[in-house]
Amino acid sequence: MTEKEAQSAETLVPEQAEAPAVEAVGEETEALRRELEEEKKKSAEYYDQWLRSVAELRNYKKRVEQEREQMAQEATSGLVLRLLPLLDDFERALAVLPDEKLLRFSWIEGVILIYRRLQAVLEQHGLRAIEAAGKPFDPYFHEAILFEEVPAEQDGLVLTELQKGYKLGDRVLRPALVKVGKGRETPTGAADEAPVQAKSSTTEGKPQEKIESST
Amino acid sequence: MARVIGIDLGTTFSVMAVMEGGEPVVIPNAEGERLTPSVVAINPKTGERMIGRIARRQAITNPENTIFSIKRFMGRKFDEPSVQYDRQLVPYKLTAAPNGDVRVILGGREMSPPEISAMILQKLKQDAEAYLGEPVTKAVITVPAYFNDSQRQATKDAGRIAGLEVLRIINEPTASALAYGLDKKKNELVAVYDLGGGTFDISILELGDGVFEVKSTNGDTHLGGDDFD
Repeated sequence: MTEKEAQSAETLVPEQAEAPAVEAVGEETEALRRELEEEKKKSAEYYDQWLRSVAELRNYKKRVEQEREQMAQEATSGLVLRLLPLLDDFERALAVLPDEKLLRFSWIEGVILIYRRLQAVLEQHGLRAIEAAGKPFDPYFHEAILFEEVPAEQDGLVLTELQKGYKLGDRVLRPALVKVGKGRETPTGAADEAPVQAKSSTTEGKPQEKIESST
Repeated sequence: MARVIGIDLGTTFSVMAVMEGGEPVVIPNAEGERLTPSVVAINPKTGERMIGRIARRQAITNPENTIFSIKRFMGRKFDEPSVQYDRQLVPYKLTAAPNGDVRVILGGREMSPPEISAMILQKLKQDAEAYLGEPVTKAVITVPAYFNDSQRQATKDAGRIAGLEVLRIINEPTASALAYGLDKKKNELVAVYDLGGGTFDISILELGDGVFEVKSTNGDTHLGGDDFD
């Protein structure tokens, strides 16, 4: 009896031990599965972050390239902008030449040549004068600092150019400072033709406001 | 992921910035400038809309249709004393909406201050998109510490009209303090001094555990760099 018991006990022991072992394995796989799940989530997150950083880096490179070009441009425009007062001074000086006869002197001619040369050098770098006097006032190129009442037909025209404006390439380096004419009577009939199509540069994607006989 | 831009919608000038590599970077506008004048104009003859520097250049020829300092009218009622005072300082016309809100007249149309501000925000948004090369739909906008709920709401509305989701409205002095890096230290009392183009504000902030509390704010709403030159 005792032997049998002992035997059965013996045989039982490993069986009993096996059950927790299976459980333990089950738990372990569960834990591993969870861990895997977490790692998968993490790796997806990292992958996403990596994609973002790559995209960001690519954009950054592009921007740096752009900025380098811009810097070069700005460096030029900064220098040219600072040289503009020299051009202005030359022009002012020559405008008040005390006597036309002086032009015969080669010394004066020389000074004029220096002015032309400075102008030519700057033009080589893309400097262009903005036309203003007599043109319709355009805030993209002109800055109104004064106005004067004028007959209606001169309304909106640049009357006088107070300081020359310049463009460098496509960009306005310095707008022309101008005096603008303002029609004496508010035109009611003549100026109310169909509204002119506005420039697309600032009104993108927005319905145009039509102004019917306002003011 | 779309990026969030931070906008300082000022009385005279506006600025925008974006976080780049953990650092804030000011975004230049299409004209290549960091400051955009907070000015909106409509050419009465062509209906052309101008914003920023261009609008400013033509202001003298078109004073009735050139709106500046719109921030002074944001979220305000027409009858308020400050509105009645400011009304005399601007060449454009103001009127009252049926609910008493301020309306400005631009190009013969009544418009709300948030609509005008939205035009400025729209330009900033467009320029930011051009700079970043991606659409911008989210923004954080700063307002003076003394702005009340209605003024804050008006600022939020302006953002929404411009197609921006305004994630947060932040007090200007708080933004300054954050930019200065005061969030790193603990329990401090600081004064933020803000001399802008059109207004002068001073605020006392209490900082502690990442919380900013505006203890007091004051200033001169009609003193700024514009008065100096």
